[in-house]
Amino acid sequence: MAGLAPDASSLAAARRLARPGPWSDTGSTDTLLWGKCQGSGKTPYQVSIDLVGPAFRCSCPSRKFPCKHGLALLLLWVDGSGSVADADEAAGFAQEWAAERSARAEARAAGDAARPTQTPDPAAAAKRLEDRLALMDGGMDDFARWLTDLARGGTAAARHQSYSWWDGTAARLVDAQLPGLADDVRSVGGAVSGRPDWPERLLVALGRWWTATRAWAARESLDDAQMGDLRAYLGWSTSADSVRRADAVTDRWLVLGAHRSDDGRLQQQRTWLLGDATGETVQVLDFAAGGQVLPVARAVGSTLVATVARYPGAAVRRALFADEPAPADDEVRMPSGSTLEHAQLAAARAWGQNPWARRVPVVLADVRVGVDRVVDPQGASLSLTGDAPVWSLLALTGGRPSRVFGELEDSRLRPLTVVVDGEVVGL
Amino acid sequence: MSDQEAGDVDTWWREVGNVALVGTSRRPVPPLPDLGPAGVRARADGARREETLLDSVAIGAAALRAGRRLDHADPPAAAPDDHRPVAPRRAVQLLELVITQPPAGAQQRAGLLVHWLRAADDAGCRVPHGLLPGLLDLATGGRELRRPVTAVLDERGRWLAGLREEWSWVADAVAGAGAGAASRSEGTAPAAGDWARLPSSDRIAVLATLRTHEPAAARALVASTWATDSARDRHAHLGTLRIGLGPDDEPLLEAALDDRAATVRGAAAELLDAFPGSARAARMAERLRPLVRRTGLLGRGVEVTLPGEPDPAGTRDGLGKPPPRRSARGWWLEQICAGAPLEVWSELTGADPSLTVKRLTDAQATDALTGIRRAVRARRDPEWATALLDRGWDPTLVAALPRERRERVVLTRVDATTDRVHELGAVVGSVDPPWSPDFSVALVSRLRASKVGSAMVLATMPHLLSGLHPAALDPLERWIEQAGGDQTLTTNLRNLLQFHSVKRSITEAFR
Repeated sequence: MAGLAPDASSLAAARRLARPGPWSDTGSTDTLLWGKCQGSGKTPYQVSIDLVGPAFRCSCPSRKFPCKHGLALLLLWVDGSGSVADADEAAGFAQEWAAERSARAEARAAGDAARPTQTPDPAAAAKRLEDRLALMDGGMDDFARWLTDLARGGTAAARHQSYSWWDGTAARLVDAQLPGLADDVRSVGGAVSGRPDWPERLLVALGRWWTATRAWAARESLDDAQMGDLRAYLGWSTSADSVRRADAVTDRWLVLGAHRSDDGRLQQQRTWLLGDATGETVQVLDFAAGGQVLPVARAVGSTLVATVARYPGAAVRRALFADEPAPADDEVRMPSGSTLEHAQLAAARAWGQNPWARRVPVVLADVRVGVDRVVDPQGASLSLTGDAPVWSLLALTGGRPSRVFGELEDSRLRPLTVVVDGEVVGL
Repeated sequence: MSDQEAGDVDTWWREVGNVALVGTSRRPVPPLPDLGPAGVRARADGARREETLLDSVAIGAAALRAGRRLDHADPPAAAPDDHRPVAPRRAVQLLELVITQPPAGAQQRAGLLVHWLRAADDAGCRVPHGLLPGLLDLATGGRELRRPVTAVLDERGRWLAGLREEWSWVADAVAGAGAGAASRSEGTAPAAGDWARLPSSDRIAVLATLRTHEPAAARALVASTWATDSARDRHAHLGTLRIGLGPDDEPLLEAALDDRAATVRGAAAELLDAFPGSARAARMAERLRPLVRRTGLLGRGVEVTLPGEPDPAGTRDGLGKPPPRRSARGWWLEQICAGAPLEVWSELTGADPSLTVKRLTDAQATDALTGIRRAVRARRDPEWATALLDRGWDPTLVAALPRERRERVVLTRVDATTDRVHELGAVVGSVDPPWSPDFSVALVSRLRASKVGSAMVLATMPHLLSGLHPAALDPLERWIEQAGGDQTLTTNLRNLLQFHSVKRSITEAFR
């Protein structure tokens, strides 16, 4: 039964997953093996293996077959350390396969040891930076002119422009290496024609864009944090290596919640972490396009020990894992949460520091969930975002006061996590 | 900020919006109001009108976002407490698996789900809250799941379903099952007044449930409104008597032979065929006796004569207008044979059922045998069923045999049917599930021995899924190991094995 794994990288990935950490609800019968693996989705992947076939099933989007989750579950079971319930003896094919694979993997690891490292050329880097700034300056000037033209002609006139007018502006911003701003323009341009609340939406967007052009013009006076937030908004990426070198902090991190989106072109994963010692909530962003697969997501409600490096920024900071997180021995508890009014105040404070922050993380105490809103004990209420998993939330809470973690975005709440009977459940 | 100041800001922001709408070329930009402790001031240098507007928009948008006042609303109503405990953890894992990744293939999902839901209901458990939306969605698409799903929703599930238009079928199912469920759990029939007011379709459901537990109470309900019910309802109500039919039902059926409607009379006559001890059966026996005669020197032949024109009593007993393309007298003979006690035949021929069947060979025998078959089916007479099956295969008679003999007869038939695979499904299907271990093992070994085993498995798949005993799973597994390159066969066998294995695990998970 050789060759169950489609390729070496799947197998390597499977070996990394073949430990109890990411697995839950594992079990088996004489003919079936199952378990749930915390993958890159917000809900764990359901994995099952028909041991008779063998045939693999997994709810992950990977096109590889069998995927790493299936292989990992098999490895975990063959390992027989009791992590998969009822595993008395692994099926013959599985054992043979595992033994053969472990030999091959060791041979490969030895070959991986030496990889050439690049030495950067400082002069060339400085030249590149100068060219980029010149390009961005030009793009921002051009954009400011476009904004003043729009202000002179009025938004009612702009509304009658075709989408290509917005798209053209966005394309020029992309050419000027301002892709984040370009995305914002495209998305507002798309919304203006179809939404009844377009005047206010466009007005607020104009304010945001104008603030960006003014901030860019005054960028000499911005500190590193403010500049970091502006860069993130404009889409001027900061290299992960430089982030890793700059501002790393080792802490125990509670995985508050995660959100995943897929617009067909790009998959995005946002994981919110709360530091125990720092008390700061940061977001880890992962992206994957084309055939790429998002990195492993963290189980919501779990606590990780990790060194996390933060991107420059003032509030609602982005971060990345500087090393491989390990499960923590003792857990960080989910904060007890606040009223909606306090959450709104905290968000206002965050926006005061970082006007570009699209969403602010909040933990709400004792809110009751309805079909389109949450209501706190004071009677204050907040609408839910259109993509909120409202039926799961209603099923889990039954309309009873519950602690909810979510993102405040455009004065709506996107719930990501709920605490039910003391159990933290990712939605 | 005071309300006065807030009002000023609102007026200002509205005006900023108006200017933005028509453009600064048409309307002047209003001056910034006092924005309180934030201390925001207009630019000192002479900015152009557009820039002043954009400054105002930027400030206003930031203020709007940070200073938005929350709406107030009444809290949504909460779900009542559940009554049942949640299903055991292992059972929940299996349910999740069946929902998200049906182990025996998507086609078998509904079968496993129904098994899970029934097992949960029997164990008095409910579905875990997190799985409610997925299950409700599945049952919205698959109607056969609705009843079993409704049984294990408990308060939370019913509350949840009430919040969403797509799930409104739950309320109907709960209301429909309500009367039946009440009679099942409390052992009481609905009060006469309630019964009279129930719509026709609900009455059938109530009767069907009640008949399985309290046939007399159900019969009393039927009788209570008999005089005022429409012919259509009377006919439908008689139909439910088929469930738990017993000699106590005879008086009602006998009275129904005088009904105004022919359909009701016909249904009553057919139901009475099941009672060899009834008054009608005795009357039919009297009609049969003069028609059967022993022939030959040793009296080993049997001759049947067609009956003559029936008297009014005969017509009342069912000797009426024949079905299309049937001779009237042949039909009457069939009706008489179907209604008379089978013992009359032994009395008249002096032979046991087997010999009697063999001796029924003359021109009238076909009509007589059709009638006898009906009597055997209605009375589940094993001896006569065996005698008839020896003469020719008839799957509808198999049910009259005791299980052991039934399975033996079917296995013999399977051996004889191997070249007609398309008939095999009906043959195997005549043994109602669940099958005995011996039959299951023997059937699998015959399928495996056949040269067309793959086609046979396909033809009998639905019955193998519902009937196979776990004892056959080992042989099945050995077969898979040696099935070789036949992909369709391997897949079918694997699904079959997995289906039963998971089904057994589900049953065990609720113990």
